Amino acid sequence: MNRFAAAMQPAHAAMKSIMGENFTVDGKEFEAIDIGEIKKGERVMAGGLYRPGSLTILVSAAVLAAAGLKLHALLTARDVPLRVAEIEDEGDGTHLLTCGPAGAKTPNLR
Amino acid sequence: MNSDEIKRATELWFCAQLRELPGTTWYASKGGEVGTGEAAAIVPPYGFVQVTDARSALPGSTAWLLTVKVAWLSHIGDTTSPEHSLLVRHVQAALAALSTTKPAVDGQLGLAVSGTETVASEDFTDEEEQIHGDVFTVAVGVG
Repeated sequence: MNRFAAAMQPAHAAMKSIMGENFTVDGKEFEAIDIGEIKKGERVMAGGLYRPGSLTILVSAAVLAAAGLKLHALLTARDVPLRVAEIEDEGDGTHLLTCGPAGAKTPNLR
Repeated sequence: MNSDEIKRATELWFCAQLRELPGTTWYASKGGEVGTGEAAAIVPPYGFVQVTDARSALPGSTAWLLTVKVAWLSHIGDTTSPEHSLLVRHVQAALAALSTTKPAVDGQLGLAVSGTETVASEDFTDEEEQIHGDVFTVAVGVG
């Protein structure tokens, strides 16, 4: 851990105590430092339902590693199934996950 | 049965046959299950069956010739995975096996499948939806 990340640790701990929230990966719970505002919906499509959803999750490097999170991984936050679309290293020992919908629209195969 | 009913019954028949493949989920293009009609939220990987063409074999005949697209779809980040490739091979083998088990009669669906033949296969990629699939085109005769 670099000195900047070490210096930021108490601040992250304070943030987590106020804004911390759990999310799940493969049924296991992990604690995020912060989970942003969620956008979700539901639309009928060929084959079934499409549930668009997006949000950002701020996690510590330790949680990122423990959860085995990588690009395209599936997770559930606030009961919405999501898929990791982008992972940004914040440089302070945290990572910002940008998540999109877990599902995808069915193709028109004609 | 009319054209729409034949299409629906055929899609459901294919889904029922392909659900025999372990670890797979299959959806007909109009969704829902026989009897329940419930729509499901779809998350890749999954199988998708869509009848793209239905023609009466002869004027006044109850026999139909259908074109059925059978797709195995994965998230674009998983398409190079061994699991995706393995399942595509299993789908291909299952479709080949269907062509040798004829005729098949499904009393629940009111469908008699007189024969199937896989006539083409191709890749499918949708960058915007982040989805990739392998699509088989199957010629089907039903009554």
